Amino acid sequence: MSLAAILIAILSFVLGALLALLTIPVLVWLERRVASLIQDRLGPNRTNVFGFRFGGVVQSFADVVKLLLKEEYYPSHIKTGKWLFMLAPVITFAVALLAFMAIPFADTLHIDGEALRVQALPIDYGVLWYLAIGAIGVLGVIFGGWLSHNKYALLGSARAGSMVISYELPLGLSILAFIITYNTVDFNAMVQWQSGTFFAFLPAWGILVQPIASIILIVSLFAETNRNPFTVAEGESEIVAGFMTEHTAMKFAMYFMGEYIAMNTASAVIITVIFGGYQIPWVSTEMMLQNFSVFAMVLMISVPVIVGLLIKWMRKNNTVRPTVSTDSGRNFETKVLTIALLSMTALIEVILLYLAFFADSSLANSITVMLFQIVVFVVKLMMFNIFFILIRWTVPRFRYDQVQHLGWYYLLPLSLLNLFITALVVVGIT
Amino acid sequence: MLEISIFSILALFMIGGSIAMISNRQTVFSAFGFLVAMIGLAGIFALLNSQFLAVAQIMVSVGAVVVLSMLTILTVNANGKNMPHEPNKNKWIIFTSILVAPFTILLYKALATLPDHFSTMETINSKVIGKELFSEWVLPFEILSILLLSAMVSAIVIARKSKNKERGRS
Amino acid sequence: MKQKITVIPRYGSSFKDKLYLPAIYDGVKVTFKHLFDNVSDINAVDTLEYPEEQPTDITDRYRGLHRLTQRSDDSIACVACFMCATACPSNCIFIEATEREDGHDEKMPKSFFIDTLECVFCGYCVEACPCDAIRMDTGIFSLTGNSREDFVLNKEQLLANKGAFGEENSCARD
Repeated sequence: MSLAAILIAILSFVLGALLALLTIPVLVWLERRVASLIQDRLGPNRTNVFGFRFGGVVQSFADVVKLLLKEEYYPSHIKTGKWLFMLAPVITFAVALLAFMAIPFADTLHIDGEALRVQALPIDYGVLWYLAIGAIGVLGVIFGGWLSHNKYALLGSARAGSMVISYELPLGLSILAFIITYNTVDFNAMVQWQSGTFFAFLPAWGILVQPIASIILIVSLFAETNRNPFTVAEGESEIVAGFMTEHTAMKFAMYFMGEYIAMNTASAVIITVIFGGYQIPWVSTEMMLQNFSVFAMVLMISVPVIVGLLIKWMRKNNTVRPTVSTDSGRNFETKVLTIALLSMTALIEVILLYLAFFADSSLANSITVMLFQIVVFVVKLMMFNIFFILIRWTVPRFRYDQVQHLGWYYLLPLSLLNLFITALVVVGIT
Repeated sequence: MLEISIFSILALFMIGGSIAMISNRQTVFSAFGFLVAMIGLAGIFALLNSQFLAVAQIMVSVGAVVVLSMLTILTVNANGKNMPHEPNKNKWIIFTSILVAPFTILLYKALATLPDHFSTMETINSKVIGKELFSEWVLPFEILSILLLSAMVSAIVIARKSKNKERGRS
Repeated sequence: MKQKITVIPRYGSSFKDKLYLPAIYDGVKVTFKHLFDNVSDINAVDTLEYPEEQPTDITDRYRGLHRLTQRSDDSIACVACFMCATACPSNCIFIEATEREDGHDEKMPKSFFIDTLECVFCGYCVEACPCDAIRMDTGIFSLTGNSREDFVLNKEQLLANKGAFGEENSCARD
C-alpha cells in the first residue's frame, strides 16, 4: 500500500460517508422545497446562520437539533424487549448506510500500476452486496413494528415485510438481466461497460440497452424504499404512521434518516446500473485521460458558463418582491456567494490551465478526471433524488392490494420474460 | 492473532445467537438470535476470503429466511402466550447437548484432519463458484433443484383448498 | 318526464391506461412545469411573505377579534343582558353586571372577559346581542401572547379594539 492508495481509500470513505449522511438534511429540505414549489408555495426559506440561508437548507439542521433535544419517550406498555425496540431503528439506519458504501463515485484510479477503487468499500461484487444488505433493512422495520405492541405498527411492519418479499423478486430478476448483459457483478465494471455506444451513436446506457428491465428496476426500487406511490408500510391515511407509530424523537429520526439514505442509495444504484454512473455519455475515462488538454479546455470554457448562469439565477431569485419591506440580508448573501463562486472558478481555471499546458503529470491528470467524475456523479445523484421527489408529489398512493397485484402479476412475469429474452440474445451474440 | 480474535468474536455471536434462538419463549427474540447467528456465519465466510458465500449467506438466510419467518410470526401472532407450554425445556436442551457432545468431538477431529488448503485458497468469488458448480457438481446441483421443486409442489398442494370441502361449506 | 342522463365514459380499460406509464408521464410533465416555472422566477409564486407582507383582502364580513362598541358619548353600549354568554357554544364569555349610573340604561358590565383560547369565532355572540354591543369587525386575525392569561381579554382591551370597516359606534343604542 502506497501513500496514494491510503489517501484515496480515506478520501473515498469520507466521500461515501458525506454523500450518505450530509445528503440527508439536503434531501429533507429538497423534498419540502420541491413539494412546495410544485404546489406554488415557497416552503422553508427563512432559517439562517448569520444571514446565510442557502435557500433555506439550514432549516434541516435546526430540525435535527430539535429531534436530538426532544424528550426520549418510551411507551410504558412495552414490557419486554425494550432494547430491541430501541435497536430496530439503528438496524434500519446502519443498513441503509452500509448499502450505499458499495457505489463507485469515480473510475478506478491507476497509480504506479496500482488499481485503486474510488468506492467507500473497495469490493468487486457491489451488486450482490447491495442486494444482500438492502434486504436486512426491513428487519429493523419488522422488529420495531412488532415490539411496539401497537395494531398500526404491527400492520405497518407486516405490510413492509410482504412488500419486500414481493418486490425483492422483480428487483433481483431485473438486476440479474443487467448482470447477464454487462457480464459482471461489479458496479464499476457496469459503468465502464456503459461508456461505449451501440447502434453507432446511442450511448450504451442501461435504459437504452434494457428498457424493460430498467423500468422494472426503477419501480421495484421505489417500492423497496417505501416511497410514494408505494407508501404502504406507513400509509398515513390508513394506519397512522405505520411501523414507527410508537417511536419518538431520535428513534423516529433514525427511521426517517434511514428512509432518506435508502432513497439516496436507490438513486445511486439507478444511475450506476442504468444511467452510466459517473460518466457523461459518449466519453469514457480513457478518452478523457488521453485527450487531457482538450478535456481541460472544454472544462475551462464550460465551468465559467455554468457558474455565470448560476450567479445570474441567484441574483434574480435570491430577492424578495418590492412589496416586502425587508429582504432579510438576501442581498448581502448574494454578494458574498457571488464572490465565493467567482474566486472558486478563477482557482479552478488557473489549476486547469497549469495542468493542461505546463504540467505533464499523469497522476494529476487522473486525479482531475476523478474529481470531475465525482462532480458528475453528485449532479446525477441529486437529479435522480429530485425525480424521486417529483414522482412522490405527482402520483397518488396505490392501495395495498393493488401494490401486491402489480408486483406479483405484472412485474414478476415481465422480469422473468425479460431475463429469458436477455439470456437468449446474449448467448446468441457470444 | 487478529484473525483468531475476530473468529472468536464471530463464534461467540453465533453461539449466543443459537442459544438465544432455542431458549427464548418470545418468538421475536428467537428470530433475532437466528439473525445474529446467521450474520456471524456470514462473517466467518468473509474471514475465509469467500466473499460470494458471505454475501449469499446474508442474502438467503437473512434476506429471505429471517424475513419470511418474521412475517409468519407477524401473521399468526406467535406471542409467547400462544406458544405450547414446555415445562422441562431447559433440562431437555442440556440433556441433548450432552448427548451430542461426542459427535461434536468426532466432527471436530474429522474436520481437523482435512487438508488445510481451505485457508490458503485464493479469493472465492462468484465466477469460481459458478464454474465449479456447473462443471463438477452439476448432477448434485440438479438433484437439489428437483428436491426444491418437489418441496414447492407439495407446499402448493397443502395450501390449496380441496374442492370437496369448499362445496360442503357453500 | 324525460330525464337528462349523461353517461360518463369509464377510463382505464384501454391498453394505454393499463400501462400507467403514459399517465405518470403526463402528470410529471404538469408538476415539472410548475417546478421549473417557480424555480426560474421565485417571486412569481403567488404567496404572501406573511410577517413582512400583510393581507389586504380581508372583507367586512370577516369574523376577526371581538370588540365592545360604544355609544355616541363614549359610554359602553353593553347592558349586561348575558345574551351573548348564553348563546356562546364554547362558554368563553364571562360577564359580571353592575348598576349603571350614566343615565342610559339600568345595567352595565362591571367586568367582561372573553377567553380567546376557548373561543371558536362562530359569531353567535354578535348575532345574539340586542344592543349591537359586541362585534367582530376589527379585522384582527392574529393574537399573540406569552402566557395563557394574555389571551383572556378584559373589558378595557375589548373596548380599545376599533372597528376596521367604518362603523365605529353601536347602531342600536345612542
